Amino acid sequence: MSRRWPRVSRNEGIAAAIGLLALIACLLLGLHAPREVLLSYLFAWLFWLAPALGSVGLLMIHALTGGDWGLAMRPALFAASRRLLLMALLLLPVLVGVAVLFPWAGAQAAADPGLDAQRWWLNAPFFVVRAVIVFGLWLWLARGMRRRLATPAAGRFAAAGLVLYALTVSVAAIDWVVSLVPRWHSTVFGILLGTAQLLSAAALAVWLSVSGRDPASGWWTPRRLNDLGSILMVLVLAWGYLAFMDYLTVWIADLPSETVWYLPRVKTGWRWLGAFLLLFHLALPFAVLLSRQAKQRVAWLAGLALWLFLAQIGYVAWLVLPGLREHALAWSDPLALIGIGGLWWLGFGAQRRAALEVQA
Amino acid sequence: MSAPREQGWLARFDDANALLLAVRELRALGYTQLEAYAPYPVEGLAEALGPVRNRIPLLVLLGGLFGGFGTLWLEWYASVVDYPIDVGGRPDASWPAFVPAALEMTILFAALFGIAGMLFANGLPRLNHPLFGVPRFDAASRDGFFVWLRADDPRFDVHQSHADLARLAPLAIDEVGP
Repeated sequence: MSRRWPRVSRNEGIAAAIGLLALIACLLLGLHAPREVLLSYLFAWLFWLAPALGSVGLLMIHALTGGDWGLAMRPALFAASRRLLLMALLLLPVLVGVAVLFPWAGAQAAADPGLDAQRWWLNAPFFVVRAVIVFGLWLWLARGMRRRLATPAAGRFAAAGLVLYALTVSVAAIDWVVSLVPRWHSTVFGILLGTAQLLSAAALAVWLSVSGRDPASGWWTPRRLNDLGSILMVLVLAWGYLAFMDYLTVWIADLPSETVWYLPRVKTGWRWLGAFLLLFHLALPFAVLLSRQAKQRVAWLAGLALWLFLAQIGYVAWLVLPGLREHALAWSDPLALIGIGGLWWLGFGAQRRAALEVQA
Repeated sequence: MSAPREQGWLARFDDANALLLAVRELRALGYTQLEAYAPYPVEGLAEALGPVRNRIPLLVLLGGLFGGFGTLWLEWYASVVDYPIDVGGRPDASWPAFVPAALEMTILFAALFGIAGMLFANGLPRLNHPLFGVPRFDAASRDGFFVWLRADDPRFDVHQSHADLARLAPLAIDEVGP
């Protein structure tokens, strides 16, 4: 595979320029309200991390299971997994602003003896070290997977890689999301975030691979489309199941250390976002994907995949935002989403075409 | 006297390929009510026989809905109307806790409705079928490859259909039904 810089199309260049402008606007807003804007940034960054990191997970799963679905999505997954380096660089503002953003690093927490027990893990230097290690491992996994895909060693690498993947995603989830809420803990959260990332990556890859502009669109038989629909179905159900199980156990146990996360989500206006996710991120895609006719029609499948990808914005907002600032939404939310998203697509098309040619 | 859907012509062919070709020929002639019998699964035969539309998926959906909502109702009735117990101050109608059981019952009832519906749609239980009256039809489980042209096919005509089958050079053509 060539190491040249990927060619950037005109649209990608425009998107990146708009993205840069949006990020500059974020920076200006951040001078007034650094914490609010950093929170928006973390939310947007987590949303765009999902398709990049989830793609690595899907590539590893496919190396173990095989199947047409993975071959169909591979070019898009390849290109998406190449965004990891960019996402690592874009984490920098969060690392710089760790004392502003995370309550455990703030001045209030330093005086709280109740938090002493967790200080060996939650301190700013170790936080940065963990971020570096986790991204180092992910980049190594992504690179190793892309190189080994067609070789017999792919299976072994993927098996060990998935174990590492599950552990590192848990560490990342606890660092970047769970630690936002002091004294909250959840044992399922790492897997839940990992599943949501797989879903996001699969939805984006299905949409890109199936939609009509793809040069390989003649390759799509009803059976292959059906497989892709089933993959989306599995991930929607796995995500819905884990999210509900987390809620159910918290609801039954009713312990303060667990309900502290749900209270701002179900006792304020954010509950409407919860209802929206339940209806339109779980029930509606489930109902559509039950139908074989819908799964085997390109327009329906592509539309649903795009919808699932966009609905993840709502889910990541649900994970990060509620209860942490006075106003539910801020101008910096869309700006950060557009900003990181604009940069995300830089060179994507050329990298995907390169992966298509290798496959053909 | 049995119904037209249990009558017709049964042709025996040499091997799986001949059977597959015959089915394709007959489909091309416009026959739709075809049945094929072979001692082992023949690749492509199911597709060659044409699309099968049946109501099993609908039945599975109804079974799932019945099982799911039925269980939710049962749980609500038991813990709110019939025998309310205060468990740690939680509401009688503990909807989150009702969901797992309802989910399991959804799957169970969907499967049961599907299987029962499949057996019923296949005409089971029954003890005999006119096909078994055809000599040597038992070869279908050893080395016989059969196509049955059912008499309820809109294109079926006793003489014309016999001629259509004969042109495909079968080993034998037998009449099904009395």
